Amino acid sequence: MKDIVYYLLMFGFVFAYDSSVSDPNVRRIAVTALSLEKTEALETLAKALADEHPVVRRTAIRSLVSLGKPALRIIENAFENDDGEVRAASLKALFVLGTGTKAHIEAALADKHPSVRRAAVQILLDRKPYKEGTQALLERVSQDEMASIRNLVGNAVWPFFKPTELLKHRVVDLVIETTQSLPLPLDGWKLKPDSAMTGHKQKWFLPEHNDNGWNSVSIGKFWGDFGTNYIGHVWYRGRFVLPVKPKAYDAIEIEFTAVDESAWVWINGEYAGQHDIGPEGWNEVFQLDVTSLLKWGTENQITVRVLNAAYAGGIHKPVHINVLKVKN
Amino acid sequence: MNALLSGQYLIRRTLAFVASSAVILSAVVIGEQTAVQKTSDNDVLALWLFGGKTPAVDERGCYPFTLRGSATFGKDGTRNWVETFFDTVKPSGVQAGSSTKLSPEGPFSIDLWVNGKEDLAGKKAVFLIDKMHIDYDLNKAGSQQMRDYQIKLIDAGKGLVAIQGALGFGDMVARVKSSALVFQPGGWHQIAMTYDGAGECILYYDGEPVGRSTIAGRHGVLAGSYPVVIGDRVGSSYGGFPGYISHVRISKVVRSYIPIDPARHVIITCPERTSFIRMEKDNKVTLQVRNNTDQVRPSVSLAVVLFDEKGTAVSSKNITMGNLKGRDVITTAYEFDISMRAGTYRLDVKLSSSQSDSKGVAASFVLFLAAQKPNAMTVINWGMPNWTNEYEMNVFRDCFTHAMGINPDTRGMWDAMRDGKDMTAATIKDSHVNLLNRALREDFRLCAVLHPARMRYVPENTTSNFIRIDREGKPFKEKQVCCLFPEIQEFCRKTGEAVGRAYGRYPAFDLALIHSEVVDHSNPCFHDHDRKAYSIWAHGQEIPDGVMGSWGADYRQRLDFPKWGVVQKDYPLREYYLWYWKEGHGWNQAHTSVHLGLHAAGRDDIRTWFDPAVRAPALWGSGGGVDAILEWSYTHPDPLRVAVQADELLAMADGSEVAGSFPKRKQQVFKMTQIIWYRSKSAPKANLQSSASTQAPSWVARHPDANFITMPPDHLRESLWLMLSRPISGLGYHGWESLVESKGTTFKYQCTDLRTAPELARLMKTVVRPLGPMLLEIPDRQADIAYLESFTSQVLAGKGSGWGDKYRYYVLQYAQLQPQVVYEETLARDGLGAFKVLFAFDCDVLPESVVTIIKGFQARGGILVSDESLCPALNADIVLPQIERKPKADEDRRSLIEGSVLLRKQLDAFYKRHVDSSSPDIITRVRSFLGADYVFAVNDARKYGDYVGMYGKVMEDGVDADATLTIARKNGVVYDLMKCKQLPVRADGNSLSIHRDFGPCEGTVFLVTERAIETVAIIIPPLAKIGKTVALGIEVRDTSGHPVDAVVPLHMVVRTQDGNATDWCGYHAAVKGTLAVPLSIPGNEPKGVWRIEVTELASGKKADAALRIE
Repeated sequence: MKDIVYYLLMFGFVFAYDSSVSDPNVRRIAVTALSLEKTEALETLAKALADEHPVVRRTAIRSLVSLGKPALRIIENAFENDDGEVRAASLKALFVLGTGTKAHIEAALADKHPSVRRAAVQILLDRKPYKEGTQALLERVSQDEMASIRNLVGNAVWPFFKPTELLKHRVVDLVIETTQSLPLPLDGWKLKPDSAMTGHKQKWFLPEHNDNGWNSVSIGKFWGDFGTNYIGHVWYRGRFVLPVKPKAYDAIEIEFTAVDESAWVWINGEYAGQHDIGPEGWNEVFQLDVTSLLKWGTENQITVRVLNAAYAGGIHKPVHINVLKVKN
Repeated sequence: MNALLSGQYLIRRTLAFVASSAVILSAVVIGEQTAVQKTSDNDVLALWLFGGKTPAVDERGCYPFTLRGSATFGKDGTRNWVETFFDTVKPSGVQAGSSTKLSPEGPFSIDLWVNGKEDLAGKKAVFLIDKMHIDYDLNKAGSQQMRDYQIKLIDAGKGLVAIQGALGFGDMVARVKSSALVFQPGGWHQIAMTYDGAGECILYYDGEPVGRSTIAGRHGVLAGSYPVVIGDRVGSSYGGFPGYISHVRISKVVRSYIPIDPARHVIITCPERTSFIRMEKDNKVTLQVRNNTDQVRPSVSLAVVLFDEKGTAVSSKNITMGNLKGRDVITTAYEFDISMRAGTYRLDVKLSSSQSDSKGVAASFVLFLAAQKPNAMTVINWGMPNWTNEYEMNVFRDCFTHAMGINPDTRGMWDAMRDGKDMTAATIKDSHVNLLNRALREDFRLCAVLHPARMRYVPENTTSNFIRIDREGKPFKEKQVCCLFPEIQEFCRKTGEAVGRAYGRYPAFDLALIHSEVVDHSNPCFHDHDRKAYSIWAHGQEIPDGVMGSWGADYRQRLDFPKWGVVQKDYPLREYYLWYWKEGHGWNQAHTSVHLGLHAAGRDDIRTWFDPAVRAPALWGSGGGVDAILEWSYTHPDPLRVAVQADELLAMADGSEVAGSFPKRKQQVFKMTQIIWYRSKSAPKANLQSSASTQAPSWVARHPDANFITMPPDHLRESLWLMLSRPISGLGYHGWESLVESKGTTFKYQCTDLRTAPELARLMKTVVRPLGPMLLEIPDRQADIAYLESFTSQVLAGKGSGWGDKYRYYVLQYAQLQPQVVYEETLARDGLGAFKVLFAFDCDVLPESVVTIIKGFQARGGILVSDESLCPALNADIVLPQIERKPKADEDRRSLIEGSVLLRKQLDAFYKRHVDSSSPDIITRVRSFLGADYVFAVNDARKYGDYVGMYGKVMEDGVDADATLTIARKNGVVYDLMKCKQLPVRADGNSLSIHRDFGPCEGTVFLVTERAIETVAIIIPPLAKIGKTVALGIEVRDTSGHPVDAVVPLHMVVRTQDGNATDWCGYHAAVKGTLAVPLSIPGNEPKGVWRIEVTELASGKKADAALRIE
């Protein structure tokens, strides 16, 4: 039967769409072959949106989308279609056609089908720079049940960013000397995965945050050495004591000799900066200026949020506090 | 003590491996000179004879010294000596005072006599004289180490030793190593080192030069403050010489040494080819006459006689060479008649000179003439066996065709190029030459490993200006050469040329690996020339700010990113990364330069390859213009990983062009599987310790610390069939040390499964060798399913790069779909007209042109299958959710198969397969040639075993399974090529069905032809004349009486009158049912009748014929 249909199509025969035809391929060919210029095409495509086979329904919505404004009414109706992929296509088309509303977005973000939610997120993400309303919606998405959708907005809603300004950027043609390098302890750290990506909202970076229930780990090793290879966001918390304040320095920088892969750092509850260059950064040394964040002669608290996208992860090499002085 | 006295006449010496290829039968004395010159010479700086009234003072009375440890003085006849002892903790030897006079500013020579008490086997190094202390680069300015000189004997492996001299220049140490020597205890030997103060250093053993090196740009050694220590090292750890040392002399001139053995004064050598292939073009046997004395040998000529295996002289010749000057070498060539019958020959060479004492200098060499062989599937051992270990060599020959045997001296070539010297000479090694000759004798082949631009192979001090730098101008932490420097490109080309000239004469050298694992370790570089090159590419644009690592930038960070995930053609970040991966990293041009240089020597048949070629974004050009590209795969957790990367290689090669090829040809594909498994991913040590209930597998007791273990045989079998089902031109395996059990190895790879090597040998014998020639001839079947790998998504969304495991590709395999991997470039070139279904996973962002093509494809009825991250400008027909990998291999496999069922449920109404399987366990793939289909089927059904199964990470044991396979052909005949028989077929008018049972991880290939094979015919004239060539033809005919429209595997044996196999014996492929070979009758073949026997391997039909030789 299929072959016959194909041959007939090749010779210019066109079948009318008939939902009672048992072969979904024949029904789909009929939808594909519709002459979209003809007015009856719209009604046929509307019927095909209720086809029992999802591929036929999706073929129909694509044809409707390609028709544009003349098909707007049916496209709007398709936003209520049983097929999530059809709803997602409908949502995107509504915004392309300029008739999408906040209500559509809100409904889409609450949709059970991930493709619809994802389509809504994409529409939001394309509204750069984000205004308050968009930001609020994106915040909502950051709580989505699906990690792939949460990750989409992860960067868009992440509130912490600080440009990296190191002493070497400020002095030109002068030699910088490390007069002291104080290693942070390797042991005594706490670790907690943050699959919901809400750690920052729960202020895990505050010194007083209760981390008693967190896993005890060391740094200088991949976290896999402590049992599990996490993929995603994981927070470290640690403490270190500094000696008395150095007599002379031009800057104090914290140096991570490698974090696999990205890192966001707080010292005593204050945001210090980030190392976020993607997977390539997994074995790179980086420094952050912490001159104004440290407490000398007493205990300091450090929090590091680590993102690992693949394979091993963690603060797998030592960390130092470097006292820097421009050489005269 | 008699043994000591007579020792110098009992010397047994050999250069490593020489004995195996060229046997020196006899020689006579020329000259009567002694090796040691007079001691009253004013050029002597110090001479220690260890005798007389004050043995603790040197002969010249200048440098008193003290004994260390238990070293003692003694006397043997007229020779006084100091006895020293081996110990790595306690010092031995004698220590002279420190004097700047013992640090010659210019030329100098050191010679001494040694007599070993014991075998040096197992001793990494023993010191003869040391004034340096540390003979490696410390990168420590002002150090007193790395100065003056040092001579030691080092372990050269296989029971041999080498002399190593070291010269300290303060900022670096130059080490000069001799060829490998047999060092027999119980005899006196002289060891000497000369340095001319201008870069040339020569090592001597009993007066004969055994090592030479030029240290470019260097003058005298730098004087240090350490004392001279004889018979041990200066300090820290020790390594005393276990024996006697006598007559130690340091001179301020370059001395001339003459072999102690008079028979070595003039020698005849055969330093190049001794093995040949019948009827090849090159038939030159190079003969060299070396004069090791200062005396001229006038009017030298060579009388050369060739003998066959029976000792019958088959040819003779006299070669006139003229006068042989002192210390000179004359080279000539003997033309070997390579039309003779295959076998071993002996070449006797006698020297004559007008000077009477030259008579009797002679040598004899074994020459080998190999039979011509049919083309075979290349199987690369991406490693190297122990060439002297019989067990390893047997495994190697059973399992492979090639090994990595040629490792040219990159550093030496770099120095030679810098100094304008001969790079070819810098790379030639005796060991390579001997191995290349041996390879033809033992029927294996060798690959060269060429890494001219790899950081670790090029001396850092010479490349400090060539290192990649970041935006701030600082070198990256992992240093890599910036290949866009013209000097680097030049060195790459010249390296290729030098190696081509050095080894291009050797047919056993026919593969070369050009760099490896370099591109993925490189970063965008910011030299002025990098910026300029990009600016030219991008019509004046500068490198965009968002450029970070080599794998791209995240589009979600960027405010300027176009809506709906659609990228305009000129989007700066995409443009940059396009340039970077095409040209900007410079490696592609570097590979091409080596390739072109290598081929410039005239050997187009040396295939170059690059790996890993698809550890790169989906963009044509990885590997530059090399002949072939390779990628390796681990089979854990699933052997199907092999299929993904094989298909990616085919996509990469599809847009390639071999540099310098005429007519233009595309790259070949080599596919490699790792013999090794990561312990951490199959049987983690931590799991074992933490779980008391886990019963450790038996191998853990033998190899508790193994980091890499052996792939078990079932995975080996399945992965082989997955590779063979693709149109590849070569196979590879890496992890030799995990394949063979070598005693005492401390390598990070361990052989933990002794079943794997025999299984590999069995598969080679029963699958790869018989079917290899056929497989090389069968193209892929034109796919009607495309699998898009998006470069744009890879570099702008961090998706689907060469590192990731593409589990959804497995789903397609379980669904019996046969996709062609396509790139954005493929779509731009070919569109999607040939395809019915397009899979587009991880395609978050796409170029506008690709979006347009896909929309057009869908509008024409094409089915788009994607995931939830599809570029929002597109709407998929079928969405397959991402499959998260779990830590349990059985659950993972189950979910993948469930995914395939889900896919089938949605897709099968719209798509009909050419070949289908009733079971997802039996995975099929088809290749086609004219009217014939080659249906590959492999059993993927597996369970946990007792090798690693207890860890739950890998199911390593295959289990039996069966399936009915359906082929969409109305009629045809099916042959199971692994059973060599025709199968019963059920035909329903639209398709053919066969049923088959499969053993654990078993594979096979079914040949499906229009008509049945009926006969095999041998077409040859009844008579052939000795020395002539006749055409031998084979036809495999079907029921129509014509050659079958297929490539049919054949086995052929051609036997001479005396029953010996001759040329072209082995496995062949009859393309379009026919095979033709030129059968040359050797000139020294006796009259008689030859027998030709042919078996076609589809149904097992045989034919034989006779050929009368007159």
